[in-house]
Amino acid sequence: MKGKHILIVDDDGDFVASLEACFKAKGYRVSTAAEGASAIDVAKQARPDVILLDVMMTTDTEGIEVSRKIAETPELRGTPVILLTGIRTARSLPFAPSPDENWLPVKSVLEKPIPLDRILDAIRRLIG
Amino acid sequence: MFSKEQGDMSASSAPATSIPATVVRRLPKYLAQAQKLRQAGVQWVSSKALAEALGLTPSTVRQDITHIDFSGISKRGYATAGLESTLARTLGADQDICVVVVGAGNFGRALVLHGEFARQGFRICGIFDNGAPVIGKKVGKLRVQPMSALPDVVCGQDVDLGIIAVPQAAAQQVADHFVLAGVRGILNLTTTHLKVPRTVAVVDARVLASLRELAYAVRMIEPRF
Repeated sequence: MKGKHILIVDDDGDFVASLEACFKAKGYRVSTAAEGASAIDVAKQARPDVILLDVMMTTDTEGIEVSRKIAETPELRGTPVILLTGIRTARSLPFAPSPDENWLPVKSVLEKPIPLDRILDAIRRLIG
Repeated sequence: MFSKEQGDMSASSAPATSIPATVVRRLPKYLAQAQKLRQAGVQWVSSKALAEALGLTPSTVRQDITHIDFSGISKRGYATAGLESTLARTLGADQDICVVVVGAGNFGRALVLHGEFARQGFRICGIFDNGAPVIGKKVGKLRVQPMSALPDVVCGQDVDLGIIAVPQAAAQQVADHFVLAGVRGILNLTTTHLKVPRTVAVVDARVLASLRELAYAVRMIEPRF
């Protein structure tokens, strides 16, 4: 759906730039944040329709903490979050994290590296 | 040093078994008593004797033991060896359990050096910290490893349990690392309420909270003089 607003939270500037360009080309509005603390502030102001959230930023697990803060913030509660992470490969984890109402309140988890069209598909499924 | 009786089984992380958490907290006491009796050559023990030794009532003892599917014999009581092995099997104490500790401060080091864990079947197979000055330092037979090594140790050594012995502010972050690495049970020594998936169990060993409770109880006792 054109005109919908996406917030990208990721500390990888190149990755963010490529996503931003792609989303804008598809007609989405885009905001960005490079770490968790500013992500909440940006989200409160921008009121995005969906948030794309990296995990490993200031700390290895910052994105997980941010997902819980989003769920606990009244203005943001209900905003769908897609976790976009390469932590399984980077930290040799036995499995990728999966959504959990209590621990990881996100709609879905996508593992990096991932083609842009799969990210777009996930966004369209959530917000059209 | 810390027993499950001190802890609270968080409601969101109760084990899959049907044994109530309050009963589970008493089972290690029964196990220790059964071990002690068997080692002393006592073959049978009554619910009354168990109750007296543990400060419980005989009916509580009988009720608790029905939960582990073990029964006694009229006028003789419970066979101590059978009671011990059934309790051990129920609590998973019949096999070694690998445990890792996060936090190489005084608390964490003391846990690693505490020999009783190994004697009770809890093999501490790693101690981790994020503080550069302590990485590589020896604690007993172990060396403190960085947090980045946690997943490899957990997967490689089939670690089931993790102990959080870090300052309160870092507790949730450590719990997140445990969950990601595949640890299935967490002993939380901080007062932080941990958020974990339903697939991970948490027991809070609330040492500080227990001390506060104790201090309050002491204040409520009438002065001796």
